[in-house]
Amino acid sequence: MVNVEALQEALILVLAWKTMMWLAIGVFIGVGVGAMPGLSASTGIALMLPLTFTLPHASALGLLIGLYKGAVYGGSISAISFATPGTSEAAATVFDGHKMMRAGQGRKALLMALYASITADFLSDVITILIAPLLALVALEFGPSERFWLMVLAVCLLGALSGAHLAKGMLSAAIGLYVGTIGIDPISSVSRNTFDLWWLAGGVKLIPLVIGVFAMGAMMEKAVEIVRENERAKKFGGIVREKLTVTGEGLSWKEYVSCWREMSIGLGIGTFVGMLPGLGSTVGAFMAYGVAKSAYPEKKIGTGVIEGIAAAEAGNNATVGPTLVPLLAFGIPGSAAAALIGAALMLQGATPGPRMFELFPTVIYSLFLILLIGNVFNLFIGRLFAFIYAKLGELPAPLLVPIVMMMAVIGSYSFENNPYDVIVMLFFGVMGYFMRVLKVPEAPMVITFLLAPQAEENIRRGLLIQEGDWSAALFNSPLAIGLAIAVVFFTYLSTRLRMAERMEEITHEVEESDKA
Amino acid sequence: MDGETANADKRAVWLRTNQGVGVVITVMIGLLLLYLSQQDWVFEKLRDGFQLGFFTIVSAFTMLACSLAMIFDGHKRQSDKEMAAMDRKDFTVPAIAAAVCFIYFKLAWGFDFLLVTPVFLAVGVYVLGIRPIRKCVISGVIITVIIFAMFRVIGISLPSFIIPA
Repeated sequence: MVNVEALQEALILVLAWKTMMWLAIGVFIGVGVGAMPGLSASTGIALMLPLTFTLPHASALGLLIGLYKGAVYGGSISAISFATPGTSEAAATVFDGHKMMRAGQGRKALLMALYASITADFLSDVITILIAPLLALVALEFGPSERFWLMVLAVCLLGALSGAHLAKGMLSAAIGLYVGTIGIDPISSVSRNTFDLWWLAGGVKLIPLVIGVFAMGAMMEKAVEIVRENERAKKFGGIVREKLTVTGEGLSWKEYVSCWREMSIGLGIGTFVGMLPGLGSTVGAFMAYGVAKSAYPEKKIGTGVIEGIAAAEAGNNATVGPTLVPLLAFGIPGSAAAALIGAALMLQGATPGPRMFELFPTVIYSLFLILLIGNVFNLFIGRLFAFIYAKLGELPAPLLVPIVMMMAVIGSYSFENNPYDVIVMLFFGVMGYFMRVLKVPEAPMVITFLLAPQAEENIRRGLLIQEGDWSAALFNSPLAIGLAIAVVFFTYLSTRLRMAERMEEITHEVEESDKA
Repeated sequence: MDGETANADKRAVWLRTNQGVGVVITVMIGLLLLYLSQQDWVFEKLRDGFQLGFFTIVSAFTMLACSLAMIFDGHKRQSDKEMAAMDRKDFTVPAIAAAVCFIYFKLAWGFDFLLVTPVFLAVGVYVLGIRPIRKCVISGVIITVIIFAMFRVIGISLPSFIIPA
């Protein structure tokens, strides 16, 4: 049932000029972040997260969702212009996009990327708006033990599907669970895992953690890369980058419509992949590209045609809205970006989950409206500035590193004016760096960190209800038993089928066949 | 001597495989488990029947199982491109970056953001290869002013005696 009063209130809040301004700023920054190689949507959102607690909820959501949408699209700009995807999700766009650029059809390629992104993003947002409340209704029937097992299931899926190595994905999730238990236990007031450091008594805060892992860690990686490149350049002379300019004719309506099959493939795959915890937009883009290529061989996808761009870009942007479905329906973020948006909601006092539809209907409606309106901003900002953003890839990377590091320090400190948060951020920056180098995915760690207190709360609630009986607390209904069996089944299945490796193989196959 | 060098090289290569990394992580988790075994709260049972260290133990043993899996599973000999290229820089650059950021934080918040930040940015971009130095200084000053103004607009005051809040 639609809460008309809350919807009206949300409309007033969202259509206020301040919200529109923050949404525009978010998209504007996001497209830039996406277009700059080395920065990702997660880095951008993590850096902007501390700013949101000074903003009203609609403005905060506008900034972050706008940034997320813009960044996922923005990656295609440098993928097409320089064959260097600004973000990993745009890697599949390089195959056709850069070939078109070299053939003097850069303008057409950029416009196809924009229109395919917006179309798939908008339609997947509509699906999100329809599905999330229905799933939330189901989730409301869950008790503490069912909720606990659902979280365990999500963590297992995340660990199994993130990255190519199951052990590393699960290791990351376990680290997140451990870090989530640091600090004073809220019920018994006993300090846990503080290593006798008094300033850890309050626990590790989300903001320094995410800024450390996603922003500082990424910049440390970039700094090492630059130091190595500088050495290579000294030895072998400067690194020459092919310079191309965006030229050629635009995209006609007929050409856009002719790609409807590829966009539909991208929409279907992206929406499904986006809802599953752990897969994300990169997998969405590569799968959509691979399926479109094998389904329509006559279109010669991979040789520099708009259909390839349409499939890949629809595939990655179609994950943006659906990635919020598990967050809104079950309170379980399915990706790093969803975790960060969930964190922003928590900062606003609205804990994501099925009860949010009852307790904070205005926030939910605002979020839905922003998801839809964000596409309009993405369309206009992308259309007006794509050719200017294409120049961003030429910005020297050394300029980026100190700026982001400075922003990371400011963001982690200004959140609570706590100098120890800076230390925590730097610690997780170093940790995030090594996770990147060792190919341990970061997203399971952050998501499990967010889920740990909720999982603990649910199991304790279950124990209280069942008067300390663990087996009754864990398996008090057929659904809880079913979910527990699903955890064992999926863990076994992911070990046997090596699902993440297969996803990686699909990506490699697509890359190899395109090189050939 | 040549044999020793070859052995050292082999060890260095092995350390960059999943198996080598798994061994290092296992040792670290072993130390963590040792620390946990000496903590009373880990085994403390509350009135509701919940053991305070339940999730800590679950996470520590899951980490241990994963690190052991890295040593023995089918990927044990694998070494990704970045892992294979690891050298001293992978430890020194992040450590120096973290230390410099901390010093920057102490100086900027203890002294003046507007004076310290341009120096931090100019030195940072210079060290990372931007030339000439004039370009570094100008970009440092411009970026500082933009960031300072941006934060002022959104209501976050960065410390400055030159332009107080």
